Amino acid sequence: MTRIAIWFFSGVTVLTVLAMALLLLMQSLPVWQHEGFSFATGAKWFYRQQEFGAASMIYGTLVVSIGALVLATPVGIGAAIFTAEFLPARFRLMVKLTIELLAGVPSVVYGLLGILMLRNWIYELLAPFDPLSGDTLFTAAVLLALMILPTIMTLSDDALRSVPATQRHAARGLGLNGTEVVLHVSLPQASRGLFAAVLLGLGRAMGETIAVFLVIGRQDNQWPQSLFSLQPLIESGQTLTSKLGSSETNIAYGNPLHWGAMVGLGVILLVIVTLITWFGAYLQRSDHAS
Amino acid sequence: MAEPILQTQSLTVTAGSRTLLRGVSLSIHEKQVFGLIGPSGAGKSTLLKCLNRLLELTPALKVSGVVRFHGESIHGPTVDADALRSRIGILFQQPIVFPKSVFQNVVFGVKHLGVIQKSALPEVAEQALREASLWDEVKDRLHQPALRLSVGQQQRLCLARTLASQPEVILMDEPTSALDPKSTEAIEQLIVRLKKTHTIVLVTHNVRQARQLADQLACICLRDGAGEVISQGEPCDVLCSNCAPEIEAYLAGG
Repeated sequence: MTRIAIWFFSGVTVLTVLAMALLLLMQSLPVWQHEGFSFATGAKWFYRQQEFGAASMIYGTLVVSIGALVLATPVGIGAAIFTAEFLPARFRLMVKLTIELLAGVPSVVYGLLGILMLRNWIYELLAPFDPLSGDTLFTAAVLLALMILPTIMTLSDDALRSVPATQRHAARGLGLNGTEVVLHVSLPQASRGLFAAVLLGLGRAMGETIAVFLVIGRQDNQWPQSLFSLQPLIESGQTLTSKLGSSETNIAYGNPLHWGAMVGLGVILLVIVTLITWFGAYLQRSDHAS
Repeated sequence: MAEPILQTQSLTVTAGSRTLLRGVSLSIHEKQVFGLIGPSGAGKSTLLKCLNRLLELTPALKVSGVVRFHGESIHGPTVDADALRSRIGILFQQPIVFPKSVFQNVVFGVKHLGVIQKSALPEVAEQALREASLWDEVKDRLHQPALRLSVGQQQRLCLARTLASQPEVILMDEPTSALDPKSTEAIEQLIVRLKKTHTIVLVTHNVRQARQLADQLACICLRDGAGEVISQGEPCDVLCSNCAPEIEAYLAGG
């Protein structure tokens, strides 16, 4: 009976996901036929000229989420080291609960706070570089960093706590001090779990829509002159999600090619996020096996 | 008799309102094996961990009384607890190896003391492994994971790791209770050998082991819910005297 139930419900789940992926793929078919693979590599998006290239949005998504990761990882892992290694148990739970609450705040609230505070603050901060507005990829990255911080922190805390206390005890018994134990026992042994925490944070950052939508400026066709230039950070741009969240999605509906292009953006996002989440979950699961 | 290397005076450990150890006064002399026996839960391990201040890493436990190492209090304001722990090493009941290679395990502690050149580490490792009678068994697989060794070998690896830091005292917390008879014998022979160069404090459940190895013995039993030293002295005196009903009960049960 249990076996049947397990098979049934797992089957329903898998089929639903597959059906969704298939639906998206079929809906996006016109654009792949029209553009070929240059849909993913082309940087120009002019829907009136029927020209669809997703590269500048892929670029925006990568820059914003990796920027968020660079900002959130040291703080998140640092906070996790503090709660897991140094904070007495009763405070640890309190801090962890509070931080996990932050993960539950609706993203539109973060977006509004971003408009309210972050945008002006960053505009003033970047004044020496003469930005056009406070709506920049950097603003979006900072906001996303705040949003994924709880994820990274709480998963890192779990990873560090899964290192047995006896290991720390043995190291202390050999005369290592608290800092050395963190550096040479806890962090190395938790490294896979920490990496998974960062990857899951990255997955979350890439999929985030509304908060990014509100502060990124939503400027199409922002392709950088050089891939390693930092200039795009202080300019407006577009991510896959901010494009999909815009009213262009409604306009596109009815025109199979344009609609296909919009759905195609979703397919690209789905593929990237799925790969990252899988990889992260894989690392997290095999953490204890080694 | 010479001044004891380790000495406790009215050492008491409390956890909140509960007393775990009460008024323990012991004198441990250099290059001897000092045995601690007693029933489970009497606080033998707690006492052992007081001696190198490992106990203070467990929150909510309060230690009062004096512990002297070479005549000076180990709780003094100038004492570095981490440095102290490298001079008073500890061996746990279960071997706790790090998920690293055999070699990395041996040098794990000594590497961080910062007194040995990196190039000298292989030599230090070899010497420590020889001292722990493990060299011949692992010399060909120094760079394999230590977790692949048998439990008995792991325990000797832990001993080698402690010896590599050249401690003066080694605290052993029932080092053979997780081991098979053959490995137990290996550790016991090691203890006899190591006592020429080190002071050893040996917690054991095994009366035969205590009688065989210890030069001095103390028996800790529960009185009114707290561990107390019931008697101490030469092993035969402690084990034969029927002065305390607790010891009699313990020996009969053990």
